[in-house]
Amino acid sequence: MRIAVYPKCEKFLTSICEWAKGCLKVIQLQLQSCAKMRTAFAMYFIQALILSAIGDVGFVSCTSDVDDAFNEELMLKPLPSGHVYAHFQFTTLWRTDIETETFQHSRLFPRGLGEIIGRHNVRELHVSLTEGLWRYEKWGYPLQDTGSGAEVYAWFNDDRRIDENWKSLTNALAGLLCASLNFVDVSNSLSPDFTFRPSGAIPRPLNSSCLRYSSLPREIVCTENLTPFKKLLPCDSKKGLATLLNSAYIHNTNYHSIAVDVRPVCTNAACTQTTIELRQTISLVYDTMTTDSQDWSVRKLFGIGLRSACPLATLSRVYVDVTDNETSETYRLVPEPPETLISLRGGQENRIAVYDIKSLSNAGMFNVAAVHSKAKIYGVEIPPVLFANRYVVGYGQERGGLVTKLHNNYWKPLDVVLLENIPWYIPVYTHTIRITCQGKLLKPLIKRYVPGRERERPYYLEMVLRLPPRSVTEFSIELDYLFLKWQEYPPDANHGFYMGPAIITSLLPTARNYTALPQDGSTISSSFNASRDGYLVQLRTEILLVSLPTPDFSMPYNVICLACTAVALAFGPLHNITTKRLVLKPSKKNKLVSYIREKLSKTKVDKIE
Amino acid sequence: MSDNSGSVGYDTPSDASYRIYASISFAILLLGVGVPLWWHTTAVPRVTLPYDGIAQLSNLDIKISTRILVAALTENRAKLLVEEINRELKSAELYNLQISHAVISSNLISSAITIHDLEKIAINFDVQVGELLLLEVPNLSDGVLAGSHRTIFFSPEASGLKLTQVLSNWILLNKSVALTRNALAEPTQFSLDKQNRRRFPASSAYDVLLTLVNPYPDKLTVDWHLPNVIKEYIEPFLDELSVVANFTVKSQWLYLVPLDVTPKQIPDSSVLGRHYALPEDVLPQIITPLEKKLASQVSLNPCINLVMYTPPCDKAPLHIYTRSGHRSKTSSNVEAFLSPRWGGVVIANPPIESCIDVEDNQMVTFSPEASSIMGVFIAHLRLLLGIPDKEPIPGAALVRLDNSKPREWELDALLRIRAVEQLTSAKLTLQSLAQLLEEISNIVITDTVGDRINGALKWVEDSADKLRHGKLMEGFASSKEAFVTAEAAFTDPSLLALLYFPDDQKYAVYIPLFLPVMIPVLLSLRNIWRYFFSKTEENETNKGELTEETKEIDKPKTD
Repeated sequence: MRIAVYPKCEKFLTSICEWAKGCLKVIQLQLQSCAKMRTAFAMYFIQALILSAIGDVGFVSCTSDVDDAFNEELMLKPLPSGHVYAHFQFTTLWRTDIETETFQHSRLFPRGLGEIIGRHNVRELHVSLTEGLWRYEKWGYPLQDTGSGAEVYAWFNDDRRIDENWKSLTNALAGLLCASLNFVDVSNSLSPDFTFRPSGAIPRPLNSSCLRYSSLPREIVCTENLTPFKKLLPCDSKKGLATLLNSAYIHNTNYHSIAVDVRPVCTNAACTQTTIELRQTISLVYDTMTTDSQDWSVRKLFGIGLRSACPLATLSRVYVDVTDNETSETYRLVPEPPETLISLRGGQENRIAVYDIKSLSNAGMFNVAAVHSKAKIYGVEIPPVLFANRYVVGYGQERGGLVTKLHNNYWKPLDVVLLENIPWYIPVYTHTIRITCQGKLLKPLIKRYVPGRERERPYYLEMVLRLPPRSVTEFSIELDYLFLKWQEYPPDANHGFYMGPAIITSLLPTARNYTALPQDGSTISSSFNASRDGYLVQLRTEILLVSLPTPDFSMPYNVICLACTAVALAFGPLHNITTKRLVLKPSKKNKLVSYIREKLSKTKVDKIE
Repeated sequence: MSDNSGSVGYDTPSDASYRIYASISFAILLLGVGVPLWWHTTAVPRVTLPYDGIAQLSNLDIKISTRILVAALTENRAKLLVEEINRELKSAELYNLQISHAVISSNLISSAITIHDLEKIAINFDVQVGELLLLEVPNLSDGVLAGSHRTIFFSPEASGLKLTQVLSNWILLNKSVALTRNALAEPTQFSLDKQNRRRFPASSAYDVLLTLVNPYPDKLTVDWHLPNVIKEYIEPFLDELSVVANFTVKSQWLYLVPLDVTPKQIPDSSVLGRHYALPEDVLPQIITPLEKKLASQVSLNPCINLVMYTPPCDKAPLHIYTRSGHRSKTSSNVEAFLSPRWGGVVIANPPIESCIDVEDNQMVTFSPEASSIMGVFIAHLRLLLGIPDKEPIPGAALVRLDNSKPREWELDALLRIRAVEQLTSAKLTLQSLAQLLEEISNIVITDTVGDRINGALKWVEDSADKLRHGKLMEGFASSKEAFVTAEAAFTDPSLLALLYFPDDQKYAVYIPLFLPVMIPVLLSLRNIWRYFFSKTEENETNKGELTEETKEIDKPKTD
């Protein structure tokens, strides 16, 4: 793998001087860390010259005798806004090659998911189901970025029969997770060039024709998704951290997100062997402000204490981020953490209390509680370096506009990739694209645009922008609302149509408010002291609800009746005029009367006869 | 229109004829062009189907021709045996036995001592798939001995009756084959026998899923490499059956899936001083909690489940008790039961030695004995796939299987049963599909479905023909083709396209157009008729006719 990547990098180095030095540094650093940490890395570069490697590096994995390992972790983080962020991560590592593995025999890896991956020739799979919106401005960056509703993207090993595989894959996933992923098809799928890159080990450069991305913003996430999710865990919800996942408490949160991510990672430094990594995560944001006291505990958040670790887990830990303690809030953790880590990452210092469930498991029910000594004073929340908003402008059901605002709070310019995912029924006008920043027009460094086609493909617009320091950049575009065919409207047509989130990708130079795992890491513990040269974020904006012109659905029948009546009205006289003629006739008096009388008498006579 | 007459009102014959021509053109345009065009564009596309051919299938006579060669030491004995077998098995339904005889010299056989030698001699006879050789062997310890190839050895003392019994009960399975067909065709009148109930329904491919259940992974570690075990034991067996169907073997581990029942502790004289009893009645409850983890999201094939359950030391040894209150087997550590058409469950207890002196929560490592467990699973697979156990016949014996491979005549029997099953099933599928399509005229029949129905019909006939000519392998292959094609035709999603388009909607759409337009056109037909066909009459009573016509035209005015 390294051999394949190197010449490309070197060529790249010689061509671009300024940035290349950085690249060299990155590689040297990586190499050093490789030697030390037995890591390997796979580096590649997107075509954008300026935008650096988004989604690059490859991986670590513990080397042991067994083929597969399972880890469970829970990160609890009090957020500055008074919320509590709980992030569960269940990691299954299986030492086998994802390309050649037939997924017939499985041990800790869930067989149902394995079969789906094997059947569809999938290299990397990311599915998430999210309810609510992650508020970057208040909460910082999450451990895992997910868009509201359902979001799924996958890398395939090759692009043969890819549309067929993609359709079949999403259908199988729909069955596996009980979500409406079966509504994903070619007409709402994209293959973006820059935003998504393989996050795992790659044997050869893959181009975006092997990628499919789709989002279903309307999807509602509920307990029917949680149950199959828990079934994928080796301990199910019988033991370990998964026992905390009680639907009544989970669906009571401000934000919750379920995600399944599968990718191949390198097992050793030379990357001669790969490991399949399955990361199942659940992110929850609890509101502790609405209750009388700000104290929170595992029992209060999840309704139950933790009885024991999953016996199959190698690592079973609960982390509590206590960085804010003593500075903005004051609380005491009960029981006292046996160990407190100090994590230095990208200029940010975090203090993490670590509880090892495996060693605690004999002591009965385990419960971590934060007891506040005095009422909390809410300070000023420092927004993160980069965040974004999106909204629809305009009025009426004919014309409108879409505005995405990108906030850069950093003191240096930031390069970002903006991916706009616009469904085919909302045609946009590219000539109306305006990117303004501080009253000046901003020119995108790279722009990719593929116009949508009705019922065939969405509008694909991807841009690389350089955001000036400490600025708000506004991207706007004008759009129309399309009149759909009457059968294409959903049952509740007047509710409106959802538009998936825009995705803003960037490699942040600082780790402020950053919690996500490094790309070479598999467990939450790998995010401690993980200083890198860049920190990848993929922000999702709000999903939008637009109302398309909605017809009266009895209209087709009305039209038929009206048209038929008009035809009949026109036809009758026309037929009469051409085939009949009114003529004057010497008439006898009371001819009709006598005629009827005559007839009547005649029938009478007939009857008598 | 003419105003040449000067007097207003009366029209000339040429005017009348123009009007008639206008009526005619309206009628032709609407009835001759419009209606057929409308009919053509709104008609449900339906490919013509061979309804006659499908109806003919009811009379399809399935007869499997089977050649049996009786090789005896003397001409007389051979003839006698042929006669006897013919007499006894003539009534066998679905079979058409062709029994011939041959005389062999005793020198040929006398050199053979072991069974292996005998089998070698039997190879000299030209015995094809589906055929059978009955070979007389002078010094045979058993009366009749069924070999592992397509040969049955019998001693000079063996009676024709005994041979017939072996043929009928072990090899031809004529009653079971007939029942298979009858139960499929008339499920209300025939109830299935044990073999039929156990056997999986016909399919072109099966999944075999081996599940190892370790309910307490904190107390017991099972040291077993499933892929290797499968490669060593199950795959060779299934490879032998690959002519019948395709098999995909999968395996998984399930943890923390405990029994839903609490077995009763029973004191005994063993080292541990106790064992646990699982009554036969509760066995189905063991399967239910497993079910939710056995489904597949991608495979459509029927799945044969093989489940191995390993109880931990503090709940072992676990034994199954029959309804009458006896332990099924006392010696081994392996207990098993079979769930018909679902799969088999094996309870593998950890050895007693490793369970002695085990404290609470101490981990025990258990390496199951592969050969005994896999032996049970293969026995399960044989039953589930349709190779029945041979009921003992006094004076008759079977050559012991030295490996897991099925005997050749067992395979032939399986081919016969499957061929009959698939053929009957394909026939019934085609007939019910034809009935459905005939009854519901709304269903779209696409070219694909039409091709499949035609293809299936052809395969059914072809298969029956081949079986009649004693070509078992080809006949089976055709029946499989027929079965698969018929199923594909029946389950084609295009059949559902217009099924729910109700008639009243059609009327609601078309009547507002057709009624007001058609009434004047249809009424004008009367005038056209009268104009042409009462012309001669009109010439005679010209005046009267005219007045009548004008009277009619006049009517609206007076109204």
